[in-house]
Amino acid sequence: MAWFTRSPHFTILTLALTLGSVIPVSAQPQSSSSSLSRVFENAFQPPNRGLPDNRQGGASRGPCFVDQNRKLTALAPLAGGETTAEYPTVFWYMPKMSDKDGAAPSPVMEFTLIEANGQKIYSANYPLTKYTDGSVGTPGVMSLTLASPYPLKVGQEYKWQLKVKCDSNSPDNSENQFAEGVLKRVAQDPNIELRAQKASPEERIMLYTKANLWYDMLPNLVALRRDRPNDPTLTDAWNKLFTAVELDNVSIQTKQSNLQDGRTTNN
Amino acid sequence: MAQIRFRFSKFSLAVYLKLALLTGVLLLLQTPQALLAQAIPRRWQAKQYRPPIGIGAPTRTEGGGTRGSTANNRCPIVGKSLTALVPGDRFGVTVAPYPTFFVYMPAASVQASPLSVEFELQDKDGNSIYKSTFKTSGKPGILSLTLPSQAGLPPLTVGQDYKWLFSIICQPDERSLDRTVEGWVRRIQLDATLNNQLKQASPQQQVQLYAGAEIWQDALATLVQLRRNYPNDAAIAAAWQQLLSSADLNAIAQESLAASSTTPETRFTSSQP
Repeated sequence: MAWFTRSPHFTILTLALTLGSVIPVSAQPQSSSSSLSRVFENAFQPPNRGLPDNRQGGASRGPCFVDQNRKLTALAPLAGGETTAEYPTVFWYMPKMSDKDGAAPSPVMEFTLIEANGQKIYSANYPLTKYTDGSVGTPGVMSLTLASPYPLKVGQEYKWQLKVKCDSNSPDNSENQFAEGVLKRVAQDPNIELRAQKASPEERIMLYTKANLWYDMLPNLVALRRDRPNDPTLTDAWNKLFTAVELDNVSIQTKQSNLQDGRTTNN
Repeated sequence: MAQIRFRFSKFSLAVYLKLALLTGVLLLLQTPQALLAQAIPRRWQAKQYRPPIGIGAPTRTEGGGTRGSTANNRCPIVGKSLTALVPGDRFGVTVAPYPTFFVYMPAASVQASPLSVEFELQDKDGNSIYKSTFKTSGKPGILSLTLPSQAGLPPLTVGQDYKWLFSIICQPDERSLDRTVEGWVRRIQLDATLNNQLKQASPQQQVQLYAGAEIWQDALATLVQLRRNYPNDAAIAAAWQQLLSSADLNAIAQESLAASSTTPETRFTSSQP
């Protein structure tokens, strides 16, 4: 516990959170960002359930995937993540793609949400844009809010699956990249929600992390990184988080620029 | 109360403001929000934007046979017809890169049993750009359909026309029995003056600005959001009634918004201080 001695701010903040204080503790942004790193170091370590790791696209032979080291990746802990949200947001890493054969149809993204009984309850399909320079889509962290009017049930587990097909017409499954994450909706703790509402972004991330609420934490972390793209302590925290959930290469994959809105234009 | 008949023109807002000044004493007795409904035209007639030619027969309301369960034995819905919330010509413009679309979703005939629905956006040549299939709650109400902005889907191209379709999948193994409604949308460039006005405007004023500029999708979306945030506000309810009746959608003006709704993609960022 040598890190306690580095700055009194950390001690105060950590103690305050441990004691469950309702009073928001104001800390300098930099100190809270580096305490994020510490919180992430041992975070989201649920017991091993023996689930197969389907979070990253396998050895796809698809001609559109130009970087075999950085694959389609579901950003979630192996044993699944929890959320209190009726309509949670899931995040993934979209790999770098290109189109060597200009005549082929655009690669297609398929998103599916599946109930524990195997029933599909939500799906979205869309072709990825081909650009004039031959690139396809925009590599980086992407997200989708599961905004179905059929809300997720408390206590239920769901699988979300991603499939990128290089050629939407090809029946050859080995050409696709596939990734899967597990999500469980849990009951909201009013005390945590109340504290989260009053908290700074860093404090909110820490609250959700300590409550093991992966899918409630991650949107806040991604938003914070977009707000402060040049904060090295935040990058460090990000890397620690993905090391903790054994998606080490995500930290390398997601350079700051890839967290930006990319080619998206907003008014 | 002065009846102000409204027609779309560049000067409509200016005319309105002059009238407002002339009748200032009278209007002082009203809340600013009561003006909201008056700023919405009595008949929605977009003069500046014309629908693309050859979009076929109107099908914003799914055809007859939906009133009463007996006529619906092949589709488990009851009550009012499935309806796309679009003006009579089925054409609405937007300035949003990822606009939101709205439909009236009828009730499931077996109470609260989920129905499968499909939403699709196509380019003007009929190529699918985005397709989403999901379950509904089975309750009747107005459903919003938002294009995801962070999922790698490109924004709508300015100046392009798109067709959107919404279907109730009545029998999953027989898609020819789907009940389908459709609308058309064009993304237009947000005018710099209007952009500045919108930035300084309250949501209520934004509805007026969008309506004055003939931007149906965004006037509707802003008003839906206001209704969700202030469900008991009489002035907002009056504006809602007015906007829907301006497009001959009176039948669904009383329908619930709360029954089914989707969350905006940016939900989490709005919680940032």
